Amino acid sequence: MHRLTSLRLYEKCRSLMTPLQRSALLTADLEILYLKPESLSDLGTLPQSVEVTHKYLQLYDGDITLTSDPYSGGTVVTSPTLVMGVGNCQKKTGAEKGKVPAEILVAARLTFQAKPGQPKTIDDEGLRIPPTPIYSQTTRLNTAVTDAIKSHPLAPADLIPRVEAEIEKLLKLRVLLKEELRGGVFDRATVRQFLADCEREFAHQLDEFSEGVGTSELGLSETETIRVKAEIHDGSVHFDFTGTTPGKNIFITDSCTIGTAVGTFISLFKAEVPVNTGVLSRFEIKAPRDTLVNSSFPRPLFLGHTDGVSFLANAVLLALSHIDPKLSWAMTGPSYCAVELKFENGSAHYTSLPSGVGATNAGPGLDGAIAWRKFVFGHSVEEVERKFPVQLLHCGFRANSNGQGKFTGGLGASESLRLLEPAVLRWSYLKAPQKPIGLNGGKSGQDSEIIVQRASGQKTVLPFAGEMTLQAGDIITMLSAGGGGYGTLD
Amino acid sequence: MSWSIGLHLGDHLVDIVAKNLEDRSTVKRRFFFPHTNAEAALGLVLQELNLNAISRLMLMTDLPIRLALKCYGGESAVLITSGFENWLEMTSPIKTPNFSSTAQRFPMPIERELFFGVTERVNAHGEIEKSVDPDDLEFLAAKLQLNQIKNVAVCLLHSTLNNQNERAIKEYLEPKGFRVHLSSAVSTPEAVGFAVDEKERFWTAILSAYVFEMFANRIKKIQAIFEPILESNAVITFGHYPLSDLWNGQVPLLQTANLFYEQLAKNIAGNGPVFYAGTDFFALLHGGGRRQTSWNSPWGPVALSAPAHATTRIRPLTSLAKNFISPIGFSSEYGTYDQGPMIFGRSQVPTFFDLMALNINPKDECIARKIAEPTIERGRRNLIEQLSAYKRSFTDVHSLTGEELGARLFELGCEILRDEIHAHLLDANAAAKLQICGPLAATLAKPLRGRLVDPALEPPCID
Repeated sequence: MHRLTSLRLYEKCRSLMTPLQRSALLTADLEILYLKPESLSDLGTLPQSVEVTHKYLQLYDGDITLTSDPYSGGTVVTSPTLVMGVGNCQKKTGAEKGKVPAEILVAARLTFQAKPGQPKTIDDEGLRIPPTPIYSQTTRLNTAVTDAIKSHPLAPADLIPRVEAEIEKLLKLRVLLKEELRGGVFDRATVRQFLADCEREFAHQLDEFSEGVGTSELGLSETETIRVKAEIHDGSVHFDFTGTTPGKNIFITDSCTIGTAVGTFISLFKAEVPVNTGVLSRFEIKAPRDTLVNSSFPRPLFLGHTDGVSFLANAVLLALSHIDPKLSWAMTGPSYCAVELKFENGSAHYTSLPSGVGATNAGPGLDGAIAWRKFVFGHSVEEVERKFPVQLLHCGFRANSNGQGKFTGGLGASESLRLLEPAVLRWSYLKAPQKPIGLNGGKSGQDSEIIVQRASGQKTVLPFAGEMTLQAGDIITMLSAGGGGYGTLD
Repeated sequence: MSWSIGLHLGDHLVDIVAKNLEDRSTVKRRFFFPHTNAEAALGLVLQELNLNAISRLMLMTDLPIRLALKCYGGESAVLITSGFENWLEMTSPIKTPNFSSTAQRFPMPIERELFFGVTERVNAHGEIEKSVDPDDLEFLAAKLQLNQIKNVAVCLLHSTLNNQNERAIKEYLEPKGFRVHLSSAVSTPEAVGFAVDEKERFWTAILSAYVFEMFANRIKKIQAIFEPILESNAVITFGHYPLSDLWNGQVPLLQTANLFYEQLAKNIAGNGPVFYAGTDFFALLHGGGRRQTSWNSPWGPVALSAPAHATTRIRPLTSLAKNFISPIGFSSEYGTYDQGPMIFGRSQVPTFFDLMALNINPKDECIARKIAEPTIERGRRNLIEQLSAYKRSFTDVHSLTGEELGARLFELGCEILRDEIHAHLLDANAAAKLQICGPLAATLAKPLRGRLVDPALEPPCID
């Protein structure tokens, strides 16, 4: 009855993790059992956070750590991750006296407002916290750490209250997980069987696709290019990013690249594919060091881990489309057009846009959607206008921005706002040399643009990132890209 | 003899409590009509109860929400601040759980083409920067008439600070025969008891406009069924609201859908959590007086004040299908009583309900057995054949029979439900105090027991 036992374990993980949004469940041997991502990069970076934390801090039952360092497995510095150990059995060799070694590790990630612009290093993007113990069963909350974080000028004001609320949630989950550990749900044989079943099923489902090799080359700027060689062969998937240039403005970590490549591939399956160690064992990903898909500290990562990830996903899809038409997905608008307005009173308004999703061989792309992130787009217009001296003039789909074809790409989005007081504008978005590409005769979608119209009427199309001072009456218009079309029009 | 009637109308279930006002005796009945709608069968129910004079009729139903979820709305349109015609659609959630090349939103209840922009603007201080232009209204009214619209939702920014523009639209359209649902009406404290942001306000007005016509038709049909036995001065209420308040807009239409939860919380929950095992859905009420202020509809938040509750992933009609991990498991699709469950003899897709029916003790009171008596043997045979066919897809369970596989799956479904309840409550002690009620409580109490005590098997009292 292996499959039903495996199903029970999977359903157990899914039910137990219901209260956590961006989260992961691993064994202490770092086998990934369950992932609940909010973005493609989470698929690689959530397990990596756990791995790095456990490697250096060796978690015991009830220990909770905090990290926001993308070079220790995080995604962006404004998305800190809590990692908790849960254990039930004291009889383990090498365990510290009186402590129960972790058998299960849980990661929970929080999302805070990001900071666009043109930072020089990762530390310009916000507070980077290396893996740090923040709670233990003996000392409880580590107030020395929380006080230090609270007083840091780059820490979000609500970071510690939200971390404390998440700790409370994790501690309640710990009680349930301990009960399951006592009941033997996570015993070695069941875990092994579950992962083996998933691996076997993934290999089996790969048979749906043709075997072969496909390559793609996608320019992010005049000097930055992603090259991918994708290969499906003998029940395995290989991605090789050899030939990708080093980053100049776009930098992505290797764990983020792994998550993006895997997540993009499984998004092409009809059925929901659980990402765990069993499935991941069928992937091989090569991201050469110091190329833009495997950047090193202290490169800034915000633009790479947002727009860059979308671009990377498109490059992977283009390579896959050469292997099998079933894997064809025209290019999705890659940029979120991130904008921040900082006003003289110190308040800051951040906004970004969804974009048009590329069409596939099965149907049109979705209008104005975030294909690779699950965050629900859309602030309250009234709240923005109450909190900040701006007036929104327009927010909706961007007409005629999609690529035509047998199946049309999704429409991009547009938003215009007028400043009622002076502000400093910071922005970053990908201005790639090519528009979102259509496939198999489908036309390209329109590219992203951020335009500033001065009160005098003078218009400027902004380059990929920067900072400028705006005056009352100036209008900012963000136009996100439309998705590429698929197939020729009859 | 004069009667006071409490009536809870589910999708295919009617709970009726009739109180004799002379001798104070009470008759309680529960009727299940899997193959037809509740209204159609209500006449038979009344015949069986042989009621002859009704002085009070108290209705309760979540029909407005069910109509919205099934996209059974009427001709309706939205007037929204110009420039924001697509904003609500763009901010509505994607329904696919994972990243997917086939990601979709739930179909909008009102088509994109029926969202019309109104050139007007109120600023964040409540000052009118641009008033509604009567010429624009004339043009809009013509478009609405052309599309045979009857109900119009008016959704203007900052209308809670100043609803002059919204009122101007209502005053223009109502004499022309349109029923107008203002978003600014949603936010009045008397209506829902808390302030709501524009997305909640807009969706509330839109869904109210969308379901109004169909809802009114259905309620009028129910009224007509009772008409011959209603006393001349009979009082008809929706919960505690006079029915007339519903038609004249004094009571928020969607809010009536939560009266059921209010009664459940009041009569059963006390301070502890309650698991409601209904025939359409399972819900967990958190208890302790906790409340929620909105309903996360498939399109966006809707202002609905109710006792805090969550519905579970496993529902009575959750379908069983192949998934990545197992040749058969619980899918994210749900069947309907029109077609299924298989045990009723029509559907070919097994559901959790079928597993329940297959695994109950024949001596237990069970809706599946009681109601589906004429078809159950054929349905049961088909179900077991289907499960046996699934069994063949397992490489490692040749020795199991179809029934045994059904038993394992039922056990698993109950375990998932238990885990969901625990995860929602995140508190083992609270789970120990959980009560279970509703039409399927008798069937589920035992398998869910272990951590659940005090199963309250009475249907919710509604009068």
